[in-house]
Amino acid sequence: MEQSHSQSSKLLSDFYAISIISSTMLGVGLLTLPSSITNQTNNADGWIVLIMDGLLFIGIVLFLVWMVKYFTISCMFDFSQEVTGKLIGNIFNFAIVVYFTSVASFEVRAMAEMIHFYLLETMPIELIILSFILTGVYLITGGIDSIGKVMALCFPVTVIILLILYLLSIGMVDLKNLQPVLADGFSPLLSAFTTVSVSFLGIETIVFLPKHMKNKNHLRKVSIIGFSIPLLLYIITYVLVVGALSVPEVKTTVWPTIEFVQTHEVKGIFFERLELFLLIVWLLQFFLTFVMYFFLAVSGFKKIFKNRSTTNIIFLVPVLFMSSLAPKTASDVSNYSTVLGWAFLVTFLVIPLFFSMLMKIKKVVFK
Amino acid sequence: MLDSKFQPNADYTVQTFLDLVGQNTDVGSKKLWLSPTKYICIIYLQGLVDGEKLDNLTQHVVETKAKSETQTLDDIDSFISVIKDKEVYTYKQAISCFFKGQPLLFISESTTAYSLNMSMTKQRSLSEPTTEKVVRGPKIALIENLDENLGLLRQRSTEEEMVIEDIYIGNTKEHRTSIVFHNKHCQTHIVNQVREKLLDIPLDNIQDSGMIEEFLEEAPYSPFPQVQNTERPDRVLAAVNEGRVAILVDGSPFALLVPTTFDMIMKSPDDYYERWIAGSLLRLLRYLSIFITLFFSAIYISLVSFNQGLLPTELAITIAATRENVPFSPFIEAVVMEVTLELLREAGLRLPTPVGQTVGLVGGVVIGQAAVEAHIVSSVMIIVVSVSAIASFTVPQYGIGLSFRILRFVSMMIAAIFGLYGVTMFFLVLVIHLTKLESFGMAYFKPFFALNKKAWKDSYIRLPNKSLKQSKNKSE
Repeated sequence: MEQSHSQSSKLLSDFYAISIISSTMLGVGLLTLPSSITNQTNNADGWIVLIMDGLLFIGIVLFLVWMVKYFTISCMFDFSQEVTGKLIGNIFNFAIVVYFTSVASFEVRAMAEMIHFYLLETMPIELIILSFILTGVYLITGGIDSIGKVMALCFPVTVIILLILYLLSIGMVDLKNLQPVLADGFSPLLSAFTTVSVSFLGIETIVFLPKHMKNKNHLRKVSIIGFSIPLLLYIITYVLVVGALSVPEVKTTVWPTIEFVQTHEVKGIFFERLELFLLIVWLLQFFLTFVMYFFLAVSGFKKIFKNRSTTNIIFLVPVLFMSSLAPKTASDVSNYSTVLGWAFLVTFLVIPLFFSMLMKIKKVVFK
Repeated sequence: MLDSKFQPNADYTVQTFLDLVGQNTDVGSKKLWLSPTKYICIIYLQGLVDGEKLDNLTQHVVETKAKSETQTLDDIDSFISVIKDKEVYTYKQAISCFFKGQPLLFISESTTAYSLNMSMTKQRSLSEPTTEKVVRGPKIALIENLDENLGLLRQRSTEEEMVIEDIYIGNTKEHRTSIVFHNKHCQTHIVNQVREKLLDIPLDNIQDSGMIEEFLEEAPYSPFPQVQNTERPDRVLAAVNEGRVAILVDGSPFALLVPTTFDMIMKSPDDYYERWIAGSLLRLLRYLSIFITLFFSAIYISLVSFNQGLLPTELAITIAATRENVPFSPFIEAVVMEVTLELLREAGLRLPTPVGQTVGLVGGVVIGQAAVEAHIVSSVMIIVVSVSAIASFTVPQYGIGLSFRILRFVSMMIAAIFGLYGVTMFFLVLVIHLTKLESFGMAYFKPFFALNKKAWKDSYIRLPNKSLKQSKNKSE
């Protein structure tokens, strides 16, 4: 029996925080990333972009962690009010909440598209979306403690199952599909830069997380590990998927990662095609990403309006439902993701930078 | 009337007393003359008096009668002081003692009566546990007598720090329960919470510890039991040494253990009595069996109803062939079979043991065979349903097995509507629910990977004690 557990310890330990960051990042990106990058680069060099972009983001993460420490930020919502005052801060917060809500509804819609396509062709998409959102509501009422626990339970399982699936399908990979390296030079890589950045959507949680962490000093370690796991998975996924399916085929498929797992058939067990496991496991990941954004949106509203979470949740459920149904077709959904990518860069880079500069000026001027 | 004191006339007192207790045929009385003028009167409940002791008393009075009157009285006085429990002055006291089974002794011309220590407790002898069987390990179970149970615990425990505390519960605060805890290992806030909750119980007639269980739970609407019950003294002691509180209720052979978490329920005492490899594998098997109980039928239903393409072709053809003449959807098929199985299980439980077993066997085999031949259910469905039924029996605690049986119907229903997507979401809902539950400040369910290194070694598997000890030394 663990004696240490008491009612007061509702804060997240390091493992929980890592799971939250990684699970928030691993969403629709892993399933679509090979095709979206390849569409930009037109060759098989996406993994180089991933590595370069990943390293750049690690740098940014380090900077943000330093900033969090320097200004002792516990949550971006608090910090924006602190810097620009209540009113303007709340306008910024509202914008951030709108962004979070959009990401959440985007994840729901992408999930529903996937499920509709592979598992439940006859089920109306509205029902899938509604049941998904309501399950999320149930988790959010438990607070960050429950969210952390569910993530810590599901995240390692999903990663392990994903790696096993990759391992089983590794025979399909032909490295010739990845050659020649850098045949077109560096220019295509630059065009893919923003597309790749979209895959890192989710890392912005690190500026909202310190409030809930048990050891705030471990933020750097937690963020780097939390960022590196998805980054590695992305690189592996890209190499395997493009290696197995070849560039022209990847470009035309909507869900290249699922296609990749689908190509391999196993004989002699109860399931012939392994994509079933990938679908189930990634359904969990969709859910976790969605829940984290939903939770952040709720806590943002709580900060702005100073009301109870329940009211915000009741308000957000129809909003999420409607906005996830807003894109009419699958291509609308992918346009949606491009817009979100820009919004992500703004929330992740511009707003924290802008605020910290303001704060710095404020400190200098008022001293 | 009740509070009034006795008259110095024993005949009158006895008569009034008998009027007060009413027309009970099991009331017996004995009038013994000590001398031509003095007599004693004993009133007792026939079923509860220790006949041997009563005979001894009668014999003693008869033997001493021959002596001189004063000597007889002295003799009787000293004799009474040996056998008396306490002195009684009012009718109220007398009635309360009387119905506890203690005979009352009235002396002529005395205003004091005595309740005698002659009650006999009815109890069965110690026997083997019937609900928690182990292959290897102590084969003794708690019984219905609280004092005997506490004795059993004391005898087997070498801990000096084990504290036994009596708490009287119920509306009238008359029912005796004992809480047992380890003075050092147990956190005081848990003990305090237990005490408070026990004192708040608004029940009148407490026949078994199962009745107070729901008052200890924090989420009574949850399908998962948050209080563990056991009839094994070894399990109680192990729990007490771990820092948990055991609650023993007088009249119940089941002790309650709090706080309870999911992995505690999944542990069986013989995990520790067998060698560690066997213990670990069996424990993993139990987790697997929970999964099978909950999701096997559901996954089968959703694969057959929605995604036959995911099955290997040969298997899909086989299943389709067995379902060829079955007019029902897989869900209806499964429900028919599950309900039949639950009926058989319940019938087998209620009937006398030999008949019950026969009903189970005959019912299961015959109905299953006939249902397949009549094309009401497919043979694959019979296999699926029986495997998940068998799996539900492997859970070490009956109560949690019950909740999984109920949840299985829910998961089947969801599978019929939402397919694999629904099953996954149902799994998520269950996980979320489990993470929200708390038992006396302890998280009911903790993810596997978040455990620390020490807890790991005795969680989903059980590593040898040697390594447990080493990790303890390292951490110190």
